[in-house]
Amino acid sequence: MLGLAIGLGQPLSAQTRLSGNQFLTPQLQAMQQDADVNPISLWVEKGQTLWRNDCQSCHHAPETLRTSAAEFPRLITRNKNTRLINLEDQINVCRQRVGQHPKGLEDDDTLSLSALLHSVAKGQTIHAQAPADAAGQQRWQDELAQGAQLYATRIGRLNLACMHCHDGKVGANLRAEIVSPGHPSGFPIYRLNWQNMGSIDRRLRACYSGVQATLPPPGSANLRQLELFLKVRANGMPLDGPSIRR
Amino acid sequence: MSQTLDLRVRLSLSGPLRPNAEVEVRLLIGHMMETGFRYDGSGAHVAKDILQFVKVHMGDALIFEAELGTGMAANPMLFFSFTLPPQAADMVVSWSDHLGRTGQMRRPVLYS
Repeated sequence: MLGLAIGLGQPLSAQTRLSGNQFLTPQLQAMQQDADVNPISLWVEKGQTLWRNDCQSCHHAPETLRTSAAEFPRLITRNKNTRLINLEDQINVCRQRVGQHPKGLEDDDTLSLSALLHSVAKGQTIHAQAPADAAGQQRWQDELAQGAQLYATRIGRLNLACMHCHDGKVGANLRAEIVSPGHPSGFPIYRLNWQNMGSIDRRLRACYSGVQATLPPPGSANLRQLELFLKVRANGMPLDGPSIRR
Repeated sequence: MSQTLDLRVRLSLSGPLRPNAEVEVRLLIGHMMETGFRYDGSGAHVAKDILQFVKVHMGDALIFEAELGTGMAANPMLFFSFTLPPQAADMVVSWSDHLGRTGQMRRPVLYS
């Protein structure tokens, strides 16, 4: 019930809207701020090379898409089939449009481009909103309601919904971790636990694993609905750019 | 002729860039450092892929060398302190993996 109320756009008090960066240790925050020791620099630099080779001829500088990164997930219609896509999906849609093969969501090239686009979008406010047309609006509201429902639905052997920890237990200890409100402002993330970059898709699947539920396949509609709900819940927060997580 | 291995490498110097000054050299290398001990979700063996040797030369002088192994985390980050020589020269990072594939990266160093 709480999750649904937030989904319908009720304002949250300021102190519950903490970025995940504020839950990092001072050492990790220092690492995050120094590009020379932040491993994410390697992905951003690769993203710049890929951008020059494959993207620049249509899109010009990555900065021109600065506001766009803050607007995902959004609805697209291709071949009369409407679906919700996030930024990594969009990179694959672009690849198909220019005749390349789509790659995985956790592919190194996909994550490098996503890291580049999110790094230039740093400071932009998260801005997930319904499309202008009436049919699109209805579909978007349905997807959002589904996401809000998922957020409040108990799953897994631990029988927990997202909201039990990420609304009810923010700041409490979960083993060695401190529970954050789960605002998606820092994706893609370099997670030390993974020793690699990962998209929000992978992070959400890791949550399913954490409560011992059946993992949805990468790119499944449920993950996008959940991402939409989380982005709407975080609307107005600044993007942190690609971030380090434990 | 050994195969080449392209890696993403970032070399930076922290400190004053002038003759005989001590600087901290920071080396960040993009490599998965796969141990060969793991099995993936489907039970398949994940092949070993380890960066074994890293060397840094400045001009003709070897200024740093390291032998890495399976105990090293992914994307190795290596720091060392170093007193800059009287004459500025390019720094060259070279590496080879456990299959003998090699590569290198050159970074110019100019004194201010």
